[in-house]
Amino acid sequence: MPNFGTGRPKTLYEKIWASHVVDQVPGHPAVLYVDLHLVHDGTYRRAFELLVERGLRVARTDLTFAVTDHCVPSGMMGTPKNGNAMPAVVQGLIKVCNETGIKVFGPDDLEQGIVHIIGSELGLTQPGKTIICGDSHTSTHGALGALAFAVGTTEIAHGLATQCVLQQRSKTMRVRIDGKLKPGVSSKDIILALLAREGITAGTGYAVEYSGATVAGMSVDARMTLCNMTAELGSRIGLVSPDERTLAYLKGRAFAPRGADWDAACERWCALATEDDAVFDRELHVNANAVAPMVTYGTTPAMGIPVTGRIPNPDSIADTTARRACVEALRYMDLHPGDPIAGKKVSMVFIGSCTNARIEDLRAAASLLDGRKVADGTRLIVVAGSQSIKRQAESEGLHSLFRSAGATWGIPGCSLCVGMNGDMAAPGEYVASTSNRNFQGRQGPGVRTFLLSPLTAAATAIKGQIADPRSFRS
Amino acid sequence: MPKKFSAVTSKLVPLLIPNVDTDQIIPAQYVNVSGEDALAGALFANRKAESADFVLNLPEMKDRAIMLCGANFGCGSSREAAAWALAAGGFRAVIGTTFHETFARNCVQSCLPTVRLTADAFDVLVAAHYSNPDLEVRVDLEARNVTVQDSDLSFPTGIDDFTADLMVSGIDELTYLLERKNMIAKFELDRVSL
Repeated sequence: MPNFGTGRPKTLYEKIWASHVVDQVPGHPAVLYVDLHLVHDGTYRRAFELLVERGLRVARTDLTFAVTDHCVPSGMMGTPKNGNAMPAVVQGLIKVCNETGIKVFGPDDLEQGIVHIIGSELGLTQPGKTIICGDSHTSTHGALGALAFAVGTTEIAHGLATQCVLQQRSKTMRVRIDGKLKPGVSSKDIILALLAREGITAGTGYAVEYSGATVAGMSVDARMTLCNMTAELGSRIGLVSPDERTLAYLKGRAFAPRGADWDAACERWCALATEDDAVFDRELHVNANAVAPMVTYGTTPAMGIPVTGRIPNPDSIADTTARRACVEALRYMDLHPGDPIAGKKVSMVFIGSCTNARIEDLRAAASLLDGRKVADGTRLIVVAGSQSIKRQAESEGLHSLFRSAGATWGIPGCSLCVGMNGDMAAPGEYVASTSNRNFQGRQGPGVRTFLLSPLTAAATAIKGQIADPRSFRS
Repeated sequence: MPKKFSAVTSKLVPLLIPNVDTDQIIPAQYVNVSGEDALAGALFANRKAESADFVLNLPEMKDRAIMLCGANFGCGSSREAAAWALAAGGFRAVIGTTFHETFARNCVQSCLPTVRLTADAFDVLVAAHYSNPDLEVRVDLEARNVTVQDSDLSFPTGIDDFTADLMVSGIDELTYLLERKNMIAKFELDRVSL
């Protein structure tokens, strides 16, 4: 068992950090050891070129795994003109991994999927591990109690060559979430509500741990949505302390320990949990019972309101900078202060991404779409987060249900969340999306994004306009 | 990409919008373009296409090497291409109050300092710029300061010594890590397996 030292009670973050510092020169960032390096097709290329330029090799191919996701077309735009050929960056990743001995899950692999989904699905993501990946939503993996954070491409090269990166230690923040979620409300709504209240820099410099009765009662899938969008709080690290749900989730996964190793791992993992009297640098609280289904109206994920709310009036914002940002957001979105958000027409609805494309998300959407149709003039695209989730959904008949409703059932990948795989909406189009970012141009130049939960997305698809999922319930 | 930083003196490009995310700095479809010209062209590509008034479209902004940024510049995606595109677009330093952590880390790798002024100092600099839009500002990491032409104004860069020294010396982080190769090997041997 790692020695976390004696003294005051420790947080999960402090324990993982302390056991991974290789070197810490005073005044310098720490040299932090990386247990798992996940590579994807969007940001790898220059990193491997750097290794070649410096005459370096991949240090630990056994701790490095790659997957194609960002640049894999979902098929929503039809079959590419060049047949089934994958983009050069996808082919390039497979080639460089084969050359360097890194295990890669390509488009034809049964395990392929979005990097932040397959890590936990395969049991590669485990409590107590340090994990890096060249993607801001690496925070997702923290839902299983791993210290996972984004790195840039040069740092990918650092990780490949040395299995270490330079890191400054973060401050710690706890977000306690208590209270029972109301019907029609999900963890996506909690994180959107937290963002709306606290803004997109509340987490800057902090490792954010979620705890409280609501989180304790949440599935690992739902916890991943919280940790995923921790990136939108300006933080790089989301965490949930390992508990029985964590263990139940990991047991039997392909890369999870087995037999006696499993028992030992469980003991080690549970000892990592934040101790009762551990002190955080900042504490926030959310009453889950007060959270309603949320929708964003603007161009940051913090510009959100309840689905029953109205577009805010910038004139009511005291801070000059925030007021200007709101004016600019409403200009881009072509929305008008005082209008209800419900009823805004959308031409496309996207259910997918590392935020909300796990099996529970698909089941939630399907529960509302069952026996109903997507509105005329609206297109629904459902893209499972991984091949495994796609197979599971198909075994439950969800794909037939989506198709009967008029939806497109896509090939797993990042799809419409990020405009780098050909999946895009047209300038000026409104897209209701279960993804994580509504930035200008995120889903294509000039595209206007409403962020919402899978359930609210399904309601919106049926109505062809932003709709309250609770209006469908008895 | 510059391999080390030497002091830069330039007029300023003001982009005083808060929360400029990296999707704006370089839209996703350009993240994997190759070469300096393509990266430079991709810099704020959507913004440049959307509006003739966008600051980088103004002829007088050409060849300016320091950008004055709104708060939380570089938030969102961790794409390092945002730093590459700024460097390829001729920027040698960016000045603001706060930057997204990952973006700032990525800028270090391109020896592009993210100068962090206090809110008060930043306001003084912005006011000075607007009273004379051709005002020249110098960012000097060796002297650890930002100075303003024809004035006594001098502000600390807000960049820690370790990072400033790396950029000035041109010793990159990879070299720093490789120097610790034996330490890393020992750590791997010593640690209790996870």
